[in-house]
This record gives sequence, C-alpha cells and structure tokens, in this order.
Amino acid sequence: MTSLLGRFKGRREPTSAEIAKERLKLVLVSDRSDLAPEKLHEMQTAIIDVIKRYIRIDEMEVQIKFEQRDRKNYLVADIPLQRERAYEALAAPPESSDEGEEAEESELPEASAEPEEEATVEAQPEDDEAEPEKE
Amino acid sequence: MGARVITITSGKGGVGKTTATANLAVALANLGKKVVCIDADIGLRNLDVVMGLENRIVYDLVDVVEGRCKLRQAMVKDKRVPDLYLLPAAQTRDKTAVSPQDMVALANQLRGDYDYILIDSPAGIEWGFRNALAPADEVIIITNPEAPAVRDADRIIGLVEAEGRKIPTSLVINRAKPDMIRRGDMLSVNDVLDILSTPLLGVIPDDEQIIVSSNRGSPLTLDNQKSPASEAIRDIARRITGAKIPIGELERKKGGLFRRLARLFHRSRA
Repeated sequence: MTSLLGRFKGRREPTSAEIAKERLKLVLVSDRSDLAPEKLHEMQTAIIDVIKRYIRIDEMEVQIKFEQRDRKNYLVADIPLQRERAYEALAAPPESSDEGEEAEESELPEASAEPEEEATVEAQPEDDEAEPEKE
Repeated sequence: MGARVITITSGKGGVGKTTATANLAVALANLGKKVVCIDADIGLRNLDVVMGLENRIVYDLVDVVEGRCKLRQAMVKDKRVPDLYLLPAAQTRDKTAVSPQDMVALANQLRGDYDYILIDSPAGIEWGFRNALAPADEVIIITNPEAPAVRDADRIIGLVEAEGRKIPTSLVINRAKPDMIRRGDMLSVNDVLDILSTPLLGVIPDDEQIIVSSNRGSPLTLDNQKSPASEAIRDIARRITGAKIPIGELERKKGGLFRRLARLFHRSRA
C-alpha cells in the first residue's frame, strides 16, 4: 500500500498522527526496556564508537533504530561501510555548476550524499578505458 | 466454570472505561445473557451513575467483603433489562478495604449464576487495578487514539503479561474521530494496532450521544438506538459472545462515520 500515504510521506511535512506514532514508538522503547531515553542515545553513540575502532563506516548514514515486531523490541542497525573510493571522492569537492538552480540546492548538506556517489562513478578508471573501445 | 470474568481497564483515566462497561453490560444482557457488573473503583464510584442505578444502592462491595451483608443484598438489579445486576463500589472507603483475594473469592461466588462478570477497573496501575485484575479470565483494554492513552495502554498490556497467567487480552479503541484520522491528525486504528500488537475487539466512534446517555443514566445500548457508538458497542458484545463479526466489513455497510472509519482501516491495512 504505497498509494496515498506513501506518496505523501516523501513530499510533505509529516502529519501530526505520524509524529505521534513516531514519538510513541520511541517512548515505548524506553518504557518497555526501562532505559531512560538519554541512555538510549548514549548507547547508540557507544555502539558507533566501537564499530569505528575496527572498520571505516559512513557515519552520516548510520541508522540505529528500535523496531517492534509483535510485542518485542529489536535493536536494528543499518551501518554502511565506507568504501575506499567513496572515501576519496568525499575529500574532493563535487564539480557540477552547469545548472544554476540545481547547484544551489546541492549546497544543502542533506543533498550531499547523492552527488558523492555520482562522483565515485566518474572517478572509476574503468570508465576512461571504456571510451577508446567504443571508437 | 460458569461465568467469564472480564476486566475492563485502560491505565489512563478518562478514556471511557466506565461508560463502555455499562453499555457492554446492557448490550450483553439484551442478548439474553446473565450479567453482573462490579465497580472496582472504591472511593470514586461512578458505574452506578452511568447505569442510572445510583438511587437504589443499599450496600456495596466493601459491605460484602467485610460481612455486613450477603452478596445478594448488595446487588442492584437493573429492571430495564432481563438479567443485569450491579455490585457497586463503596464511595466513602479507602481502596485498601478490598484485597485481590477478596475479589477472586467474590467472583468465584458469582460464577455459577451468571454468564458474564464485568469488572470496571479504576484508572492507574496500583491497588484498584490489582483488585480488578486478580479474578480476570480476560482483559479488555480501552484506549483512545491519542498518544498518552496508547502509552498507558501499552504499560497495562505489559503488566497483564507480567501476571504470568497468560490472560487473553483484547483492545477496544474508543472515541475514534474518522474525520481527524482521515486528515492525519489522529492515530488510525492500524497505527494503534501497530504499536500495541494486541487483537482488536472493536472501534467505538466518538459520539455525543454517549454524554447525553450518561446525563440521563440510561446507557445507549438500552434501546436499539441507531447511534454510531451504541451500534459499535453492540457489535463488541456480539463478538464477546463468539459471533464472528468482521470489524471492517460490517462497518462498511453502514453510512457516514462508519463507512469512513472502515475505509481508513482498510486503507492503511492493505
């Protein structure tokens, strides 16, 4: 069922019911586990810190969430690993100022994730080698 | 075994527990069942007023427990329906006058003669709630589609689970406002079910007639009124007796509020 709700979710501000649901889910995690919300946050930070000791991760994209299935809570972590190339691309500033309006938008920090991925594709040496073959 | 003892509780106060209890009791009695309601809210009794039986009380629950009268003497018969009785709470006593063991003993005394014993639990999670829960064969949790009520309902569900007796628990969502749900300004039925993961027994739409009926001391389900809330409560009563009435399907056949409610229910469920 992605028709109405799904379409709206991406576009507009969340409704007050959606906000209530999210807030409830969060508060119930600490109610049920008897762990203060501040402690939950602390734990999430600690988990990320431990993982960072062993592997490079894309910290901006890390999601550690509590999920509820039936009446049980699960701690679900979505931790993208940092690829070597992606890491380099991050260091280099993305160059794309062809279209004025879109360039302004890409300056927003939220939008930074996607252009980086595009940059990595361009930076791959295989692409350069492919062009002579076509000719 | 005899009667089924059903405790109606909510955690949060003001969600409509007492009104739901009164109306369910009347609806069950109208289905030909023998019903007794026990008001477990000692010190703050109200079920008598909602049922319109406040002027006929002679003895109360504490009088029975403390041996000042026989159980039969304390039970007030509702003359408007075939087999409905109220065992009122004491108004001037402290809640500690009754213990969970007293409630179990009381329920056992009544089991043989009735089909349903409905216990109206006080709000909160303390003594009165413990009393109401002790003899329960089943628990009905009443909640509203509002964050504080849902949170408290979750707490209550947890406490019932922690009891360790595996008491079957079901949920009634009271005061649903279909228009607000459609606008996204009220948790939908499925939002609440998503969070509480408890079987749904029914949805009662918000209905001004409920207040009118409380004013009169005449539960909506007494006469076969066409009000949305009373129809929803009668459906819940039928479900309690084992009738298979799909919650969405039935509501779709009806007009107005019900149809909209059902549509929202299905929309988010699919």
